[in-house]
Amino acid sequence: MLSALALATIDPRVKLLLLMAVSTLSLVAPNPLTLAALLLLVLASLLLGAVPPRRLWRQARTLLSMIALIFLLQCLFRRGGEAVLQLWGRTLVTEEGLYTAAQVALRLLIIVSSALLALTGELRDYLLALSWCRLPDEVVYMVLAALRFIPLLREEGRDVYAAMQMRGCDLEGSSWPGRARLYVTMLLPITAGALHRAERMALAMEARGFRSCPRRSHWRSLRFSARDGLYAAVYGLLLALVMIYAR
Amino acid sequence: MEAVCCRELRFAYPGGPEILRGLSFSLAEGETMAIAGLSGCGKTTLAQILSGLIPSAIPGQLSGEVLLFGRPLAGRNPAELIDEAALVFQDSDEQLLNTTVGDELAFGPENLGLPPARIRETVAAAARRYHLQDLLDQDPACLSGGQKKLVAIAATAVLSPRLLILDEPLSGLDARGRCLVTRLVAELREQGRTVLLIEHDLRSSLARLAQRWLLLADGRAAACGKPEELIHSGILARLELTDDDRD
Amino acid sequence: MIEIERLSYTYPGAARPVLRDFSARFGPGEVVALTGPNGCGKTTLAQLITGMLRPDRGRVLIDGEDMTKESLFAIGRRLGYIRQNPNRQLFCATVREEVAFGLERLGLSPAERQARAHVWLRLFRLEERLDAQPLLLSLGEKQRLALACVLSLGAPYLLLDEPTGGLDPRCRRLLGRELLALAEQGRGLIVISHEREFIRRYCSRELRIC
Repeated sequence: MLSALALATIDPRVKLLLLMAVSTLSLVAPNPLTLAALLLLVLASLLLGAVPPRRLWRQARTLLSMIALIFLLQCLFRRGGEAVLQLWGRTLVTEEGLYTAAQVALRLLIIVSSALLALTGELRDYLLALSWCRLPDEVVYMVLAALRFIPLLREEGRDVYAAMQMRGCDLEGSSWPGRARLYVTMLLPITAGALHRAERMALAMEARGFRSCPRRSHWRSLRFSARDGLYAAVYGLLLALVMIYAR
Repeated sequence: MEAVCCRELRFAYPGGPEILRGLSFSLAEGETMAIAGLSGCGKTTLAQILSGLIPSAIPGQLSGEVLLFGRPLAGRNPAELIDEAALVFQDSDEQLLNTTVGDELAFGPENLGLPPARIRETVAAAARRYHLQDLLDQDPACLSGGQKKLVAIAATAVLSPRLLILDEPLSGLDARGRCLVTRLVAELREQGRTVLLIEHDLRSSLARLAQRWLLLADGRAAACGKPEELIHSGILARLELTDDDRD
Repeated sequence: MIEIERLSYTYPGAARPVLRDFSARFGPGEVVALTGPNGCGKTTLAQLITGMLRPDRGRVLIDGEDMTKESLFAIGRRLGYIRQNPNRQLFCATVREEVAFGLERLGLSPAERQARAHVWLRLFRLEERLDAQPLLLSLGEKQRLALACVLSLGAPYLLLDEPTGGLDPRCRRLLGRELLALAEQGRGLIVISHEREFIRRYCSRELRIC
């Protein structure tokens, strides 16, 4: 039964649809209770969906600290209603502050977790899904290029940084204005490199006939199975239930 | 039938000096020819002209006559030329963009809009012919240099161009990689394909596979003929294309 | 003398170490070739010597000083490194600026800087490309530029990773002769290469890693 819920093998079109649906609902949901219920639903589907929790944690880690910060700021700076937390006679956190903070934080958490839900499965299947949605071929390959190149940028940055240091830039030892200037110098080769690579890739694609005919064919196709339909339907139902009853 | 007939080919990049200054040569169908010359002499430029990338994707001033299998090259872009000429780039990292080797082999045929069943057959045949069956599901970015180059050549050859142009195919490869690629080019030659190799190292076994060598200097054809004849004539030393120190 | 004492390194996530208890010495006045198939650890060793990677165990000493934990800047003053891929070592807007980049930090007078830059650019036949953008040059030209930039800094030791990759025979010869000249001046050079002919002509000793 559990393997039926495994997210990696659910049709990517369904996952993209769910991502959109959940994100939209989270913006429409009236109160933190509904939002919390939505979040629980998404988290449950992630955990039951055989997504390794460690990977989830790694992907979400940095965002979580940002969300925590936003929560804190909202709590402290949004004022209204009764005081919830008082220290030394000063009101730190008010009702409205807490309410808004909860809303914002939960919404962000929902968006992040539904994105994680959508990130399961293979990239090539997603590209097929985007193509199926009639997205232009150029855009689909742009998405592919971006996803393939971005990890390389970090490596390039590291190599350029090392090369600069070995050619006489004492980045660690110099003062901040100097360092800032040097970091800007680093941007040139990384950006130029990225643009150059994009240009070469476009050339390579043209050299192999890209855009020679109005619509590319695909040697693989996505198969929408009964399981995908059932998953979508049940998920939809649960979402509707949450929106109606969790208030 | 002549595969390529070039007469007084001239080319300059915008705002730059003339790289090709009246190049004339011809290549017979089924022949394997190696083009050599000092760096900057226009070898890659010639490859880009023959594959149609210049002037459609890469701007510049082009004049002179080029006939590909009897038809003028003028004005046709790489997609239109795909049956006649295809280019394998020097840097295979620029050419391999898909997430699996299978997708990479299928990319070209997909661009031409071929029916999926036919593409699947073509990919299977190419995998067999170029010994890539075990690699079909692997990410090209994780392959060794030699394997990447093999995939790049296979993915271009799968379009069945009548002329295959390989730009420095041994560039960056270790002994094993060079061996793999040289063997592949030998097979292409056996199959009777017309192959144009850009190879600056005339001592390599790859250069020895060519039936004729074309030596470029000053943007023109300095010599063209059988390897043994050119070696004995001493022109290699005159053009500084050998390793022998003259002093 | 560059001394490598019992270096061990395992890539994070790898099952086996790529280098285990590796020791070697590279002295001044010699051009040592480092050879072996891809994946055997040549590039890893280069990165460990230059400080881009820190070893799990072992030490790297340059002229008696332990450089294992030193900054890249400190190492760079003693050891020049030329990578296989020139794209990651060129970062200025013009060829002129690129060569000037390192020279500026050497504390030379403008006249000396100009002279040095000119010598090295002329040697590698780039004196007519002064205003070109480094990243738009051909592969061979980029490699020559990277060589000119690093060699002009005058570090006592040099590590070159596949320097002959995109070079035509004439430039290979120029480079080989230049390496011999540098060795004669007392500098120590390590060259990672596949080119048997180049190694045979210009390297005094070969160290094979497998």
